[in-house]
Amino acid sequence: MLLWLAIAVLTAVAILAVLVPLSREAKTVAPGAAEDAAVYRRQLTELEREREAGRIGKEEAEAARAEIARRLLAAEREAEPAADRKGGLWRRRATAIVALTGIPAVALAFYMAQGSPGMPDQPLQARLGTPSGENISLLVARTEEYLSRNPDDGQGWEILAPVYMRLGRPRDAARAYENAIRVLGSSTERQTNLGDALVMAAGGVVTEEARGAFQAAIEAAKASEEGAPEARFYLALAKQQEGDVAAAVKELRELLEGAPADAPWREAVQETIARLAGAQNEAAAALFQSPEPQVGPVARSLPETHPEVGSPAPAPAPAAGGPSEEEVAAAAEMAPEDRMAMIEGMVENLASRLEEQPDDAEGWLKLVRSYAVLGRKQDAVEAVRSALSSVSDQGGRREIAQLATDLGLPGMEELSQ
Amino acid sequence: MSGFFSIAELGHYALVLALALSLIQSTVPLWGAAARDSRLIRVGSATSITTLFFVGLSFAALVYAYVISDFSVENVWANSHSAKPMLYKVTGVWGNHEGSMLLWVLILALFGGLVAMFGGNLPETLKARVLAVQAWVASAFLLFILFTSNPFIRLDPTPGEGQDLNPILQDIGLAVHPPLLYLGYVGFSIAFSFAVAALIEGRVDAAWARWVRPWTLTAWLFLTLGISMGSYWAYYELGWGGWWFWDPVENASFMPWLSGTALLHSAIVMEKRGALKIWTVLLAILTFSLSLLGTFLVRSGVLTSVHAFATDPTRGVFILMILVLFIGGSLALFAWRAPSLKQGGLFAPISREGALLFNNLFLVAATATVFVGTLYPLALEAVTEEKITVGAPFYNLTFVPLMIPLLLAVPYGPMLAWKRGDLIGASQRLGVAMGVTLLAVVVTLVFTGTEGVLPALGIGLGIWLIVGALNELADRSGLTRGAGRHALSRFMGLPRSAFATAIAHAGLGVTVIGIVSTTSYQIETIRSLETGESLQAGAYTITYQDFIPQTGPNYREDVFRLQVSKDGEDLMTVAPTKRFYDARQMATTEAAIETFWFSQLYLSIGEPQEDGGVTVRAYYKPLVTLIWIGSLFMAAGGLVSLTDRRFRVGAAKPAKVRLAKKPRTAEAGA
Repeated sequence: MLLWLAIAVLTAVAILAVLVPLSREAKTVAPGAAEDAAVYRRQLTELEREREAGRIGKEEAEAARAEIARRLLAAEREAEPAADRKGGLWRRRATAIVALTGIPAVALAFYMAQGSPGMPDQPLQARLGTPSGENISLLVARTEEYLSRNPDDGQGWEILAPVYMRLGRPRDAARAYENAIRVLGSSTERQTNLGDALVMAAGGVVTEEARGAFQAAIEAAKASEEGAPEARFYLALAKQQEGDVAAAVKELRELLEGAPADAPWREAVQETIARLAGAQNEAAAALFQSPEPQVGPVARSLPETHPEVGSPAPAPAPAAGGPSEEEVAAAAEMAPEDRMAMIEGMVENLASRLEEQPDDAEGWLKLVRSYAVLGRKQDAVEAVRSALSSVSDQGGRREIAQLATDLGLPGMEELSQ
Repeated sequence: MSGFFSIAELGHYALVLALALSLIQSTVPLWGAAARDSRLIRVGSATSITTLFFVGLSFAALVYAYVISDFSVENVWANSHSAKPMLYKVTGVWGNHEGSMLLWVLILALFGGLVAMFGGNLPETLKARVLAVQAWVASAFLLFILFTSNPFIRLDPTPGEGQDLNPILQDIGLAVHPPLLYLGYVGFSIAFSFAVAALIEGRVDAAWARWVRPWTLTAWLFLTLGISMGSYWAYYELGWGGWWFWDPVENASFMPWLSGTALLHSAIVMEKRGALKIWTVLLAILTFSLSLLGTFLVRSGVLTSVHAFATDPTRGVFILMILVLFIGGSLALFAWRAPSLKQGGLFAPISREGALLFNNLFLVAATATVFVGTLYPLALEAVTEEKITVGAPFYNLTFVPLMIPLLLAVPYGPMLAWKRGDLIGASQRLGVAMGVTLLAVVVTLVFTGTEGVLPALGIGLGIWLIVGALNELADRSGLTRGAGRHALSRFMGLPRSAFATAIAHAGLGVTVIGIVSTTSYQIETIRSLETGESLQAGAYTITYQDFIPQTGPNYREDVFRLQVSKDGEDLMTVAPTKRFYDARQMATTEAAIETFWFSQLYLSIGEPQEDGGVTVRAYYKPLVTLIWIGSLFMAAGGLVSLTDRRFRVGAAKPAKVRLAKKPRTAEAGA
């Protein structure tokens, strides 16, 4: 409501800006040449003042006076007597009517088309309304400001870093740890924290950079008795993320063997080993899923699918023709030899099914991939050859040829032509 | 305050009212002038001042929305961020298309309001028509804002956080560069309005030139500072050490500057001698047309460059319409009415007027080369889809050769008398300047070796301008004619306009020296450095110390510390940085610039290397700061000239006196 009052006041001001001058007393408007003459006369007086003040030489003043006088004469010749043209009441009325109706009409038309008169201001401060939330960011900002002036205060960086972690700013935390290391020197704890922050920043992937930090942590721990179990744990995870699950499990087992019996993290490592073993099986089972996720040498995409550090790859949804969830679960509980036999059995089943119904691009893709993972290269090449001759769908054939190229099967160049 | 009603909405409504008032101001005073109705004429002044109030209110409301981070205003949301420092929240108001257009209109309204308030001694009909023409421009741009670029559009629901301002623009340079530039651009609108009003009147009054010159001077002064500021901003912010790129956006501001400089000089002729009237009117129209063209180039998004942040084609078409309407309309009016304007005084080719005309011809030709270089690539791309870049090589072949005779002639201008001058006499009186110039060239050659003949001549040109300007002052105070102890009192008694001319012309010389020295004697080294390694830039050794990652309010930065030493002595540690802005996912380079006297050491960081090293670009730029210092002198000259409020009449020396004494400059009232 108050906005409308303000709008009304402003509109009134605008209208008055037109009406007030209209209501003033009229005076004669001199023609241009008469104005010229006035200007020249003013110039003459000014010239006289200049000369008296001695700011202009006598000759120069004479020359200038002659010049101005010439112009003045010309202007006076030209100037006709000012015509007295008063009146014009109708002009004033017309203007007033336009002002009274036109200004509000134009203004409201434009404003109503785009304005939001009902909407109050939304200052950020008022919307936040939580002073405590403000304070921590204020504190951080103040510390940042302090550290930008004193970048060599290692203690400061070390205090700020975990705060960043808690605020969910791992990238900033990593930089703070880097600074702490730069100033205070490398230590197991700092390097491990740095690696931790880097892994978090990368969404759970143990990046090259993070690995460097963990390696430095282990390096720094050589002298101490405790070692750097966390760093070793992450490096094992890195192996797993590269697709080398077996090596990951092996390293974790070693970590466990060297650990004191009362180490608080024993349980966590054991759990991870169990999960990784499960993941190994799932990786095998994934053979039977649609093209991704892939396994073996092609499995580098696996880490990206990890939402969190150390958690196993999520179980892929079973697709038609693949093993059911129960089968996968069963496989996970089996001994390694039995598991292998089960997988091979499934592959044979698939192969014989494809012999009967060869026009199945999906099936062939699965089979080729399985052979490749099981290391049966010759069978894989055979499968590709059969597939290319029996799949009718051109897109499917291209996909199979592509997979063969990706897997680097020997002699595929001629096949895919 | 905001609890009662919405400030943003009030600002929106004030803007709309400004349009309504401008429409009245566009028509009623014209009618009044035609009918010689003083009451209708007075409406022009009242509406002009009220429009200024409304546009000011509107602008203040937008600033307020930025300050309180009101993200319900779309413009604030799109260009601000709550974590941004307060200074950049405020400067962010004009760091974007909508806000900068509002600033444009605010300055337009400001100039209109100033004419209304201080134009008391203008002929009434002229003033009415000037204000009406000013209101046409204002109405066109207010319509443009309201139809295509309204900064007061609201968002519902309100977003939680803003999208931040382009990080390149988060800089103190942005705080001052656009307002200065706009004061220049828009200031020329007054000269334009006066020109069109004179054409409508059908006569150029005596007061006309007297009025046009200070306005042109004011606009020119701000434009000089704005361009200079922009050049320095590009120099330190873009990180590759260049100070002028012949970029279309730079050219867009340079063209009105060139023609504005011409206008400034032709206005002197008109004020003092009443000559060159039609030409001055045409220049006034051309100068503002080039300002409009500049606005079009930058605001329509036809260019893709750092400056061009607007990309909506509807806007481009709208501004193009404004451009066609105003340029086409005013030139048509000129073609129709100019023949009826009376020509002023006559003069000989060798005279002050002749020299100023010489200046005008060369400046207009230079403007034309920049115009072609800027628009030809655009036209070619529009017609053939072919993209070409016109850069320094083109301008070195076209613009520079035009500048050399012009600069050589500059010291002669003030030495020549009005109406009929004496070239040989002027040359004699410039003898000292010529001697000093020659000496400077020889000294430069001794220091740099004979290979650099052209640069040495360039330095000589700068010295010629500076010493020529001083020579003129000395000559006028009688020092060269043995006035002895009277010289000081004569010197003190010189009109301010004489000092203004000398300061501005000397400033030009200072800039020329800076340009020549930087382009010819710059030392550039680019190397990849590991910790502890160093490189050499001129006499300076730069050693890479270490690298510190830091966190700013709305960015992260990598600070690279470099040790600067000279002759084995450590001078300082500098820290060029690379910044990364999260909200926009953009990186910027902050160069480290160290000034030694007038020279600078410029260090910036390139892409990081695989092996942990860092690419350091080091430039030693001798006398580079003179480029901008010179422009400050030019602006200062303009300011001094502005304070000289006297009427100016140029008269030739009476022939008798000339015969009786040795030739001297005409000083009458100058």
